Amino acid sequence: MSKIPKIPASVLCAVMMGILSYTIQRLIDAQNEPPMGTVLLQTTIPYYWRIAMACLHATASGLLCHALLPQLTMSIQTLKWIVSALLILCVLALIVVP
Amino acid sequence: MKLYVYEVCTRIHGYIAILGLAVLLHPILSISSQKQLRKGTRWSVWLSMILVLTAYGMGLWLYPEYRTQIKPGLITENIALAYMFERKEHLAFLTSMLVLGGGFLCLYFRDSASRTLARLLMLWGWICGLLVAGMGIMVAAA
Repeated sequence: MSKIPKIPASVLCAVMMGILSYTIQRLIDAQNEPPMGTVLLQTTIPYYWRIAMACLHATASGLLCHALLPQLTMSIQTLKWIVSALLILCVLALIVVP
Repeated sequence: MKLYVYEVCTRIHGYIAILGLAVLLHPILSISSQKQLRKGTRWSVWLSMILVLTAYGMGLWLYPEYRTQIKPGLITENIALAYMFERKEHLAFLTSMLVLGGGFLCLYFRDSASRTLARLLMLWGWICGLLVAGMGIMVAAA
């Protein structure tokens, strides 16, 4: 077990939350939007909205983590596996659902 | 924006991104062996963050031009490439988040747990960046 200081744990939480938020938003959008080619141009750019919302979620979760979490005590190997597994899932989801 | 200006900007965007990925490899390979970051490693972390984020910022700036000028033609000519471009954009966001987070942890925290996390985030950022670069080259070649 190793102690991970508060700020690095919050940064990790913010990064992972931003990535998860973007992926989930994209998956939800993919279910609702018409197929590419049927609509040539939208008035808003969904990509910008997704990025803005993901950044907002990342900032909020990082601040919440910093405020509520005293210190993260966890095996660094387990944390590495969790982070890697989440990232692999997100990358695969974004490749499979473009 | 005129089409040739757009083309020049996309090439600059690609070169900056590739350069950023190349520089990022240095801290990924070297931080695990350093207790305190050497000056060169510190510089390479800063440089890679600046280059990757500049490339991403240029991509965000060029995206509306792509939607209006390039995407309609790409959809009719080769829809698979249009989908590949979208995949590239998604992964580019992941890359910039990971490099930014990893670089911040690497620069400001000295404990081994933070360094391990920084290296992990930068490694994943590099892997995503490599996928982005591959897709970008394929789209640009079409």
